[in-house]
Amino acid sequence: MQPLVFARYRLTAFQEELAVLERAEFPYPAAEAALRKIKDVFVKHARMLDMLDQGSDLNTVNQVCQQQLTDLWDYLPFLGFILRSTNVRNAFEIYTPLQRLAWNVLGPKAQLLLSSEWDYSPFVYTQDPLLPGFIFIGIPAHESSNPLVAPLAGHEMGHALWADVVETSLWHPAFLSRLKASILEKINERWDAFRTLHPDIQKREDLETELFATAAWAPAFAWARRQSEEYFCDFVGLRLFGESFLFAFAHLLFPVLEGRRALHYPNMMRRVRFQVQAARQFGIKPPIDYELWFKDREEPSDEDRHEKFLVELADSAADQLAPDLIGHANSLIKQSGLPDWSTEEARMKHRATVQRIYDDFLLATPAEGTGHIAHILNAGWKAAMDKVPQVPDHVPQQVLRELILKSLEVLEFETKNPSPS
Amino acid sequence: MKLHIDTPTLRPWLRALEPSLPMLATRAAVELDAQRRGIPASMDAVRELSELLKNSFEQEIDGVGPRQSTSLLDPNTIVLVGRALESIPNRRVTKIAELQQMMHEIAEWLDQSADNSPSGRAEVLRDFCLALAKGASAHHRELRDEKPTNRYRR
Repeated sequence: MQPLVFARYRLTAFQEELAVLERAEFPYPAAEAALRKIKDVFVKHARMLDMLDQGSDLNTVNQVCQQQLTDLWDYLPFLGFILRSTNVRNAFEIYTPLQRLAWNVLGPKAQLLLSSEWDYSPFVYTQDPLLPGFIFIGIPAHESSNPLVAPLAGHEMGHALWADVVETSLWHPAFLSRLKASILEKINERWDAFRTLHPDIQKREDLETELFATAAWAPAFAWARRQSEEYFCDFVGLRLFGESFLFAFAHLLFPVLEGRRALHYPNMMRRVRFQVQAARQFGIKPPIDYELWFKDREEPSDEDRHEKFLVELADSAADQLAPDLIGHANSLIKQSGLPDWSTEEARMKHRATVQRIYDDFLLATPAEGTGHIAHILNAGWKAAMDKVPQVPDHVPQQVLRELILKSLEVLEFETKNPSPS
Repeated sequence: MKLHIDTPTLRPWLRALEPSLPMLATRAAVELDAQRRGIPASMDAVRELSELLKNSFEQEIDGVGPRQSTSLLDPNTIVLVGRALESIPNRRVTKIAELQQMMHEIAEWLDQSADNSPSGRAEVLRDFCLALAKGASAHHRELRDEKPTNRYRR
């Protein structure tokens, strides 16, 4: 079985690289923990290879090697990510408040990794295959010292919450049943169009009983499920960071990436509309013209009638579920210690805190007694939109960035050393 | 402080979108192939896969009462398993009810294999696991490939 040599050699090379990285110094333990988890994956690969020899079934050998290749492909960027987490370009002041927030939302096992990315896609590693409990937040390199993008980490915490809580609870089958019912209802409404695309499916009942008929609409279900998760994560980010989440989202993605939309993501305008709906439901005031800032990406063309039909089913099913997901995101993270906008009293308190921090920023002074990262970032965005503070011979953006980072440091000091009162 | 959730937690069940499924099914195939050749194997992955199959229909939920018997299989998993079952000779499955019955049987066969009971099904089960691994992998790849690519990158 000569080709097995390739699999052994490339596995050894990867494990050697892992060993080199393990000897590096990391600013926080999550990086080392992630490396150990990745190492475990490749120990399993080594064990599988050890069980193969001349007498092994060829298909099994091929599958083992193909799976190894897939994992090398998937995990190599993680090694780069972990290595870059040591880079001084990262704003380490953001790390601890975000890690604390992750513990608040996900429990003590949550481990956060913050790194810079040479890829514009914000926060590319979301639900890592075999690293449950880890939240990888990759900030585009040129933004990695910019704390104003930190609210988008809330979206990534949403993915961890989805995987850790929603997908393992009875909610999940309930959500999935709703998606399925919605898709089947839409097919029934548009039965003639569906039959044109699938003339072999004779009866409506077949949709739920026959395997080949299920296969016809299953892609719509997969897309709807993923779209629902994305909605949920936006709602979590918004609930955790308030208005600053919307500004950070716009900062990275306004007006929209060019090209055709990904089918498992809601198109931009639907996403933005549900963000606004969620904001209102949470008591958060979105920017007045927020929806006008964005555009949709291209929908599938009319030439691909099949895909177009399916994605319409997916979009409609995810949109029907979205209002419930707003409520679920809210109920999951409604707890003491997190910002609250649900009552007029809470909103007034929040506004007053943000204004006080903003006033400090106007004086080019870091803020004290901020209480929560979200308050600092909301004040930061308010200042950014007003193009303040204006300090002679300094770029406002740089001054503001330093003020926010310093305020986060003060917050961390105050958290670790609470005043006796 | 961990947030409090009133909703009971379910044990893991078979899901096409579960990222660890291709690896698990591949490991199970390797263990079954070793068994076919009379080589001792831990059969850990075989046991784990059998649990996933069984949990897809039966869940014991704390505080809710006895075992709940209901299918947790989503349409993508149904399609995935349906295609994997095509690897089993003389067992043509066309209906979802038949597929569920067949999954029960496969879970039992996997348990027998894990206990090293002589059943002669190691090869059939190995091929099923291989088909499951390939199908799940392809399903994940389809969703991943939709990321926007860099226009200057080949």
